[in-house]
Amino acid sequence: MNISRYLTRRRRLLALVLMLLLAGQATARTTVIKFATVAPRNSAWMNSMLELDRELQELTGGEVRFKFYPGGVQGDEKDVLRKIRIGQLHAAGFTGVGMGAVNPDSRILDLPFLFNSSEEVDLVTDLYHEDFAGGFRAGGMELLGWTEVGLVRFFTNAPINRIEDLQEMKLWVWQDDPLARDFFHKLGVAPIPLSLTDVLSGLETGMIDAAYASPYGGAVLQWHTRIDHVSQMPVANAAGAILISRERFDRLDDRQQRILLELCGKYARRITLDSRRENSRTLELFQQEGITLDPPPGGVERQRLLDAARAVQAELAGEMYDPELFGKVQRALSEQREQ
Amino acid sequence: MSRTRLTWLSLCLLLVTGCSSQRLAVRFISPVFDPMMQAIFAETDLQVAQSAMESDILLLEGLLRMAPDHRDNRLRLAQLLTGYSLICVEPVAHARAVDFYRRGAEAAGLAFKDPGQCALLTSGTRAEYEQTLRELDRRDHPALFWWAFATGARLRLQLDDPAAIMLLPRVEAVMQWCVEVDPAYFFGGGLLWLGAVAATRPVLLGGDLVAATALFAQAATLNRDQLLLVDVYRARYLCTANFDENGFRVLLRNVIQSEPESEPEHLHLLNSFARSQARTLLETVDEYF
Repeated sequence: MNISRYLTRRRRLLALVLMLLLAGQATARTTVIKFATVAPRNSAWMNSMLELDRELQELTGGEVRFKFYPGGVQGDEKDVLRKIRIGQLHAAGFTGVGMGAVNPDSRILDLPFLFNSSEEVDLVTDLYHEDFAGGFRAGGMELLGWTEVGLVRFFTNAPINRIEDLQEMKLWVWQDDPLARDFFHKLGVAPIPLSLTDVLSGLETGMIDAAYASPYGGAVLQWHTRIDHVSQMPVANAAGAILISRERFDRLDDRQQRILLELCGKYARRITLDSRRENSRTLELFQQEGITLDPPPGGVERQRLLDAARAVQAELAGEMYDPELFGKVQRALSEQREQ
Repeated sequence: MSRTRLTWLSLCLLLVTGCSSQRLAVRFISPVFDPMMQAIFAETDLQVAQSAMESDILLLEGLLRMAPDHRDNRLRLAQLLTGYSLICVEPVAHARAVDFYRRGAEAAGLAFKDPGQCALLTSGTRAEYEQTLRELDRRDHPALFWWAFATGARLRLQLDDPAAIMLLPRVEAVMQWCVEVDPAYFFGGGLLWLGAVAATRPVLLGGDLVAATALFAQAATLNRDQLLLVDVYRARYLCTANFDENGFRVLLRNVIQSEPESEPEHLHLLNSFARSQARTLLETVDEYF
């Protein structure tokens, strides 16, 4: 064999080995965050997350990136949480039920009749961000941003003017949500627990005749095709958040963590604002469909409802969430309302 | 001289003559489109099919200016615009595809016996919509099919819009009606459409993979297992939902390796499109698993 050809071949081989090693190193340097969400492809939620990922890769030089599992393909929030705990997934978009399983105090944000407006929700999540983030941290997760689902309304076939109207209805309650179940029980309502997927057929068959969701959520679930009334009065805020496992978050260096937190905060805010716009627009579309938007109950009845709700909120404090944090939230809201 | 050029020439000559003779001419020319459509479906080269569809769309638009109430031509135009968007535009440009689907649905709506029904289906109150749905005329089946197909395809690309979310169940109900009337229409396209909707919607939000599997199987049987698009849909919607990467790869590789020579002529275009979609999906496998 010709020596020079042999050497050339050896050099090529060495170059190839070197390239493979470098490629291996580059791959090893990339931290992939496997992220699950129920939002489908092409939704505003997913479009924002894709944009976030592009910017994250740009700012970290490709060192950190997301891998998305949209459309609920990883299962419900309980499944996703379990997969995060065993390291199969790393992060997800959660709503109140999933958030509450990590940090029970976060259920304060979902309390019925606590908030009157989105601005009040912003006030509380801004003021007590660190309290909530600390709770998630204690539960093994890092809070990356708030992604509000929106203010929840009743979807019914008759208007709700008094507590008794609600008590007479066959009201659905999410079987996975102890907060809503306990709340309605204490309000004297006997709700019917069903899974989220069974609500539409429940409305069709008459097993239930009332449910609650954000307007956009109700439209996605097609409940608007089976009811005639939607309440203008917000029943509750449906909170949402992007959470990542501490294990994966701690793998990132300080700079990467800072970039991830900043970007997630920015895009989560965009998702929240998009969600509010979608909810307002959906209410307009409901009216165009011929659905009646019921005005809030009148003075005395409204006060009765709120008083009853506040009594239940106080009763659940300590049982379900930290009474001290709840007290701080209440005071902040009172001060805001007085202003 | 090609058939298309001859048709164009006839069209130009007729434009200078009177209105009634124009309508007569349209009636005379229009049957030419049926064999032309058959030729497009028999085409294996997607670029050739694209050029043919583009010129036929303009030709039909021209004919419809001469005879706006020619419902068969409206229907042909709806089919061409929708097919063109699906095969040629959507894979490369979503925003343009939305426009073509919208035009396709408009053309289909104007092919209804009562075009006012289309507006009621889309923007009527729920009571108006439900009444319209109850009164659908079987003779409108092809127009309703193309209206639902085009509208649904558009909405699928606009899931960030609450109006699209609200409209989708209405369109789904119309497509269900179409499938009940004639499941075999357009190669079982309604079954594929409904299967895709059932599989795409998250299970938490009412998606149903079992129903989707059955609908795809029905479409496959109707086409004697020769419509490759069914396997592309199975890979794209079922395998991704079930995290079956191996199944995804196997199905798509089989689609790519299939030989056009062994396929029936009327499926050439759709199968070529399926092969092209299969290649794209395999290139982007990382997005799904």
